[in-house]
Amino acid sequence: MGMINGEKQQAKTDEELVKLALADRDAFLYLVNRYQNKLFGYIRKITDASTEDAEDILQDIFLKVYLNLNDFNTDLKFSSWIFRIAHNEVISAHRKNKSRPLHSAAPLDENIAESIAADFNIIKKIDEKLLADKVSAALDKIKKEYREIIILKFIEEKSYQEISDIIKKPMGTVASLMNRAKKEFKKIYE
Amino acid sequence: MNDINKEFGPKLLEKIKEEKIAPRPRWTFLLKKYVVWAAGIISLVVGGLAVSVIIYFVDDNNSSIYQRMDGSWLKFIFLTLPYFWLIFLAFFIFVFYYNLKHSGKGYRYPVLAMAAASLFLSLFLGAIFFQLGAGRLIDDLLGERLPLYPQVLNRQMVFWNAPDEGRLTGLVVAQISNSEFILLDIDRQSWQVMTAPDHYFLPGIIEIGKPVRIIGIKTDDNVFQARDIFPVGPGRRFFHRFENDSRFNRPIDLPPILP
Repeated sequence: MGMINGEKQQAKTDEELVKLALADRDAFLYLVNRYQNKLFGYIRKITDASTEDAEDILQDIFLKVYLNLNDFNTDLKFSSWIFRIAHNEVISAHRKNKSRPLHSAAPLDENIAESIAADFNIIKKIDEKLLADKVSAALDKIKKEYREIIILKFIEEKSYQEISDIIKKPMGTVASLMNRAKKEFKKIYE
Repeated sequence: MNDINKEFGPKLLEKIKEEKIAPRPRWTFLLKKYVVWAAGIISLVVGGLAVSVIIYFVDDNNSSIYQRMDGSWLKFIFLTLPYFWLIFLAFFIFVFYYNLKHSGKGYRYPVLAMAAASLFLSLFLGAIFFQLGAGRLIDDLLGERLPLYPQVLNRQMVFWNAPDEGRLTGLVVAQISNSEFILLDIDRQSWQVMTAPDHYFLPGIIEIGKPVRIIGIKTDDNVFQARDIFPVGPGRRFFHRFENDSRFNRPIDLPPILP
């Protein structure tokens, strides 16, 4: 079957796993295992997809990743490259289901809510659970492109450079999107 | 609830195996990249050639000619701008910009910077091509062969083909005397052109087989009194189409001059 030792592969970099997957199809499973939960969470946070729909989108993402493995080059971080494919697939899935409004369905982790509140200078002398609910509710209401950028920054912990590579926009545009996202978020939150 | 079913990975791998899905070969991606780059470079070169033609037109359409004309400067500019070439250039700058933006990391740069770089590179390359004579060569080739050349590519010729407004352009086909010659305009109509005996023109301007532009007055049907005569730049080879005209170098067919 050609399956490689699991523990040994955990220590390998993404780039090394890409090379392995190109040589041995089964090794692709290590990349899938490494990214499936991150991408699943990302899809659930920026769309209103049900668990089944989110799994379908995730499957399309990994199939596209596998098909395009030879297109990956180390000029870009693998995580940026795979998130870019995910970003495009989410947009494409959204286009196919235009009638469906995009609202975050997945609840927000309390630590992440605190991190957003701190960065956005929102007074947070309230119960942590309440804060998480309020931040989630505000995130649900802001524009999709603003919500995605906040999720990439605070939940996926991507740098501006990585966000620029994922959404294929200049860093200056990412920064100004983030500013506008903060303003709109604060307006809705307050 | 952000974790996915544990069976997701193995199922995905099974699907890949069942459907015999394989990574696309590397060369297909490289080919796509090369095509984008090649299209970008071709657009840049074609844009540069368009710039060299525009410079050739603008360089010829200089203020010394305008100063000898009646009428507004704005009207002169508006009627003589090489619109075809400007639109052609804009199209290829856009194609170059599009390819630049979609190549590798093109998205990392701001739109304005990319558009400015595309414009600057086209102008820079166009200036070099102009110095090498590309603008004149392209205009000569198209002028000699292309149908509707004056109407589409060289509006300056249409501008100069307005005897009622004191402008005439055409090919000198016969010389009657030192102050009279026969000219075929761009519609192949013949004109008897008279110059004031005491008027000085640059030597070599009035020669059989050479095109000229004239500022003056239409004094009668097919008779024109010249005040200023200039050589023709853009469009000069258009008149090569007249070389087999029966009136070439045959002044005997002149219409009588009315008093």
